[in-house]
Amino acid sequence: MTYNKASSLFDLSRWSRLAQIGSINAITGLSEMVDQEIKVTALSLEEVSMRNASALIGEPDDMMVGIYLLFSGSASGQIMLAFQPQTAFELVDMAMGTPPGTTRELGEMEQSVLAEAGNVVGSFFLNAVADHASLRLLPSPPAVVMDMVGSLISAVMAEALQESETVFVIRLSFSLPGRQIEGRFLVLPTLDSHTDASENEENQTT
Amino acid sequence: MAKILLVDDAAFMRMRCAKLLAEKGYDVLEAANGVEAVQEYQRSKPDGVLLDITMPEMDGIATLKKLVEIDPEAKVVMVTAMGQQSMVIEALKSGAKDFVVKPFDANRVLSAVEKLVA
Amino acid sequence: MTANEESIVVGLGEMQVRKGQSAVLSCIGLGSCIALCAYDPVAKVGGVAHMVLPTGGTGDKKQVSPKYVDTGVPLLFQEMSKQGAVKSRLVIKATGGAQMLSIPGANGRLNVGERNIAELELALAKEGVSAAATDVGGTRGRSVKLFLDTGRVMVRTVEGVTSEL
Repeated sequence: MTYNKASSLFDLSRWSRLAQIGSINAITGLSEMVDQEIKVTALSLEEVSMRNASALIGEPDDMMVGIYLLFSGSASGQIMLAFQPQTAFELVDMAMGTPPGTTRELGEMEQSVLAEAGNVVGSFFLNAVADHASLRLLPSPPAVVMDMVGSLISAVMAEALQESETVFVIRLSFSLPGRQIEGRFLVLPTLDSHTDASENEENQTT
Repeated sequence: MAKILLVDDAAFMRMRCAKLLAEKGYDVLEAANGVEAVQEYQRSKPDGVLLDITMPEMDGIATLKKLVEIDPEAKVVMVTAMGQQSMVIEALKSGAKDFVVKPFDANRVLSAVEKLVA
Repeated sequence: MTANEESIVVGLGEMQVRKGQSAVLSCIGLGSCIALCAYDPVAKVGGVAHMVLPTGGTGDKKQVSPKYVDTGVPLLFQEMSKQGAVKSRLVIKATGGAQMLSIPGANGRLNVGERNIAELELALAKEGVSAAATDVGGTRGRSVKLFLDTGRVMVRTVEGVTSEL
């Protein structure tokens, strides 16, 4: 089967398997970290335009905590784990074993907890994709930012647009059953690196 | 009791590990990145090292190689979320004695440390 | 904001120009992007360009779009001229260009904001104009509003502090 590299013919179905495998593992990692069951509520792969980009994680002027990292190796791109501030505080409490409501702002230790959450979720996603497709995908250390959704997304989009006209996003939504806790996980692979990963996917015996 | 050096850029992880080990009577030292880890290793000669991979300045694999270069007998266990097959292989080949994936099970870490310093 | 004031959001890579209206042009959540606001108080023409990247290629492949600072600046002024604005009368203000994301070892890649600011200076100089006021750089997000009836520009930071530019 010839693989057409033009982005207009980009084959999302090849990546859907990788995204699913990566996402399941990513959620497993987070679940282990907070010792709670986590449910995937939605998984999508889409080409995103600048116009609908901020809708990826919320309203443009909503406050959001984003844990951001880059990845490189066989493929490169960006990863962002996003939570509303209140959710981020609750996750910190869960991870640290402190009573709910203890964390009310993000000091150094709290940011470190969230950074570690980003590290685990990001690494687990990359590990599953890498092992499945025989690749090497290395995450950077994470950065924790709390700011407006519009600003966070525009920074991520600007970075993606530096490399490519089209921006491709894997978006995972998840929640903790029985609690008002939900989050989003975005993976934005750099377009021209997709060919390596998805060609390897093609070559895997299944 | 044995002296263990914890290397991780996340203060939260260092705190968690330190608590776990201190409760079992180990002396705990900490470093936040590879550069600090090498300095601390040379200064304090710990009996074992728990080493993260994804860190700024010098990643865990580079740190591992440096530690083994300084001390071929260095006893290092990788403790990291970066558990890809290629990474595990590289770490073991570069001299790590064990490889624990984060988020870790407390008993897994404790038994890895016990075996390390035995 | 009153019920009479229409709010027009200028999204990433977009540009809006209006004449003789009492609406508000706004950019919600500027990270590394730059919002260029220009207003001709005589002709009552106002425009905002929400620019994302410094340049869009060279030569044949050069992209012309408000998405890029180097072409967005002249495009905004051209569109405003079409609606009766005179460049020499324009009150020009710019905000944005922050570096929101900082990763040790990768900041050469993540400095789009800084590069946008540098390109803005060049582009304005090429047009023979200069900004009356700027609020650029830093590490925090901003939102901006250009009030088309008065030409006032208000910048709001993530902490909720609003000030006039």
